[in-house]
Amino acid sequence: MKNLTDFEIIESINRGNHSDFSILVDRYKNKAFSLLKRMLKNDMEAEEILQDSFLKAFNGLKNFKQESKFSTWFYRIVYNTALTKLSSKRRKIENEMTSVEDHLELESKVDYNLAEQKNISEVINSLIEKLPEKYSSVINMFYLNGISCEEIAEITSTSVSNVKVLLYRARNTFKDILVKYNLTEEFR
Amino acid sequence: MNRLSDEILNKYIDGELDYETLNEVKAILKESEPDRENLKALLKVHDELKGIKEFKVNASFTFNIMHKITAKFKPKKADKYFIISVSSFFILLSLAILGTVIALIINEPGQSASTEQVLTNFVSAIESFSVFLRKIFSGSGMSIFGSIISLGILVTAYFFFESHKHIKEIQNKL
Repeated sequence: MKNLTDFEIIESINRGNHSDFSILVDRYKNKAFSLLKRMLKNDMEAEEILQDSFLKAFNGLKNFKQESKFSTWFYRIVYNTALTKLSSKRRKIENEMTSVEDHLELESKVDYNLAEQKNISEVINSLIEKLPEKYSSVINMFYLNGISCEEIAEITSTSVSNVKVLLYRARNTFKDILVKYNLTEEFR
Repeated sequence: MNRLSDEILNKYIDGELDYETLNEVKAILKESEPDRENLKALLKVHDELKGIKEFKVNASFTFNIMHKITAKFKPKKADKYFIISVSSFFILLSLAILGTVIALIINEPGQSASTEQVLTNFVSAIESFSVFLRKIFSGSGMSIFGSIISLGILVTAYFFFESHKHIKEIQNKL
């Protein structure tokens, strides 16, 4: 059963085998949780939104048109549910294209404490936690979830070029920090 | 001094440069040490980001989700069974009345095959049935019948109330 494609599982669920939904839950729960945790920066809220998202997905499975991938459709639900939560907390994500000057502002937002980090991987993970939601969500989807820029644009209802701007800006910020602390060669 | 912008280098890493630009970038990278260093730093970030941490959700998460989904479907089934059993009762009652009427017609002594006779028998059966109903709805019969109906209404109301409460509980959990 575990080797079935998402579409095959959905067909089985729609035939009445509701328990097969657990395969989809197991398949996506950790990746979606990572995305939510990086967006909401709170474990409890991330789990709560993840539950809501899975229940929404289950209820909407009958209406799911197999025009796009299940993962794209599901992550859109996750992303939008998280945005609703964030807006209810008055923490809006600006979806519009940000100006080049924001690069410096982004670097100042990423407040890092290298004394606590043991290796470069920890530095990077720690820096992601400090990123604003719009950057951390794109980084998470691109690198951890393996979603293309085109799909991220579909999920976040934005343009592909905007997704690339966010991705490049985050990379450049990290690069500047690594260069600033001379971490590109070796870590201390 | 750097000749290649971060944007060009990012595109170079993602393989998004056209053939001509790619060759130009490669030529510059051959000559320019600062650009090579910049690319090296960006590649380091890119490689490190490939290995970013995946967070694990609570171990009972799948069980909890499936429990909620199963609970959501239960009340619907219970409602369905309740409606089916109530409607079956009324259908069976109607069939029993119809059967009694037909049996009365068939078992009428000295019946003839003529349509007129059958109709007469049918009318007289209906009349005797209405007399029976009149007996029930008058005097002491009425109070017994009223008590049975009241009990039925009370039992039905109780089950509706319980079912409604159960659905509300599940909605609150969701």
